[in-house]
Amino acid sequence: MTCGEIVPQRENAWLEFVHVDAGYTDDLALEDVSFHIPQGVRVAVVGPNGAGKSTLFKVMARLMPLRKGEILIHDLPLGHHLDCLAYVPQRDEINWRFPATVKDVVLMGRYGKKGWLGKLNKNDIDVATRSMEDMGILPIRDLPISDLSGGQQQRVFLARALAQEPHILLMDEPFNGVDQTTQEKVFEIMDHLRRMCVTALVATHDLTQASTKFDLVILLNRKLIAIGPPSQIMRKDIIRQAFGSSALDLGDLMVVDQCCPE
Amino acid sequence: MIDFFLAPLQFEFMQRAFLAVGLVCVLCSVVGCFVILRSMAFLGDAIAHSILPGVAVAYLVGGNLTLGALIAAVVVAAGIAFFSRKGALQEDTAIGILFSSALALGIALISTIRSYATDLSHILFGNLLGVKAADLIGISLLGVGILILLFLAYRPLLVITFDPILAATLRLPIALLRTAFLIIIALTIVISLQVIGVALVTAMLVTPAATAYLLTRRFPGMVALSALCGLVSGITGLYASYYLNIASGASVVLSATMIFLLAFFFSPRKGVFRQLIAARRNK
Repeated sequence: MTCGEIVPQRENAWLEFVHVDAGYTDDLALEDVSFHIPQGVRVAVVGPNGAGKSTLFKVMARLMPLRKGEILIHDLPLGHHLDCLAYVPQRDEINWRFPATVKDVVLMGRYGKKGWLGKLNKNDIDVATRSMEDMGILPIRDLPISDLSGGQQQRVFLARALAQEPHILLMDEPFNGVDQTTQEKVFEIMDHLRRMCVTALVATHDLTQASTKFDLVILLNRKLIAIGPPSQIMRKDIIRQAFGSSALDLGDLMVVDQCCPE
Repeated sequence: MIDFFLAPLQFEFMQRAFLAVGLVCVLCSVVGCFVILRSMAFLGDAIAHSILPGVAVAYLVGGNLTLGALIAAVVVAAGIAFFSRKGALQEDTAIGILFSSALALGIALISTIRSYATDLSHILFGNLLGVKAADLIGISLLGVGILILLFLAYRPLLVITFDPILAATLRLPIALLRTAFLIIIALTIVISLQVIGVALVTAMLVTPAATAYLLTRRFPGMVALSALCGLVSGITGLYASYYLNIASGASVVLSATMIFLLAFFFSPRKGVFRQLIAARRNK
């Protein structure tokens, strides 16, 4: 089954940004960003620190107000589709001391489909169990989340996002401070999502990963610098536009210094 | 031995006191689970103190004390939001200013009443032994109402408490739920007024919930255990108050503290002793 069979008319512009401005103050975090992404592709969102990668996700998840422009999903403006977007935030945005087990957290992914009082049924449990299995956390499902390692925490949140059965999955820096197993799980999940025609947007500052593991790269530095397949984007002149002086040209090699944000 | 437990119950005012303390302690302990996980202990304290001027005004004009208290609580909660909006002040600074001002205003108003000292101490520290049958009905109705409200909003409150980001992506009415929860806290405090008093009610909102937090690993279990801790503190405290002749509100709070200390030191998972033993083993 290809993505086109599900919604034949709208193969393109599954997700579309039209002249989007966003930010809390007049000093905009995102300015005049326009692009469209076909359904079911894997997109790396790349840019220096403070480039507006998180902002891009947060306006989509409506965690931040849209100041100007429009964001269309399935050709409809934000707010017209309840369940189609799952957001995996950076790990430090969660209260990990909350008394809940892995399973409790993953089941929360089903709440959106159930409303305030709807009882979770067998299907919900099955979906949650499958998500935990996919992320390799089924054996630790009864552990309290406060006892988990960083990588395990990340996988719990990925499993919860899977349990939401989203059309678009947003992952904010899922590779930050996690182990190899978790990184591999993330890529496995992205392959899996692709078969399900789920669009995955991943913020990362690993340029090698961006160029090898993704179909599309969005290069961002408050404004959209470039969007396209990695082969077109990963060029010295374009990278330098986004990273400026923190990009160091060593002949054949381009080094981007991300440790010291200016 | 049985006499020891039954003796206080021969008085009707003690029977009412037991019922009232049980209801209020369970209610506070359940609401308290959300309060401590949302780090709202200080805010709860602030609301408790800020209802004083409302009670005083209602008392002076002969109006309904509960209504007066509620209005004051809502005004102060809105005030905190107003002063801390757009980061003009840190929220805890705004809370600090508003609640001490409200407390001062309350004391100023109450000091105009002739029987000032008794009335003030009843509001500040409760008057459990003076609970009347009508009060008991009021406490039960409001208490059950709050528990039903919590039950209905359990899932969204849980999500907001644990993960505000998921709450936003699920399109939960966050501002509405926050306000609703502030009103729930305010109502809980108002109900607790007569039983524990304004000055000590924060203890019942925080301590049993903290005890349960140390002993459980899942939220539903935490709520159940917190309610149990609250109930046991209330009843133990009332017996202690009867036999040792100490103020009932203080005695209830101290019982809760004792249970908390036991859990803090001896909790199988998070207790201090367990950690000491583990540290020694690892050497």
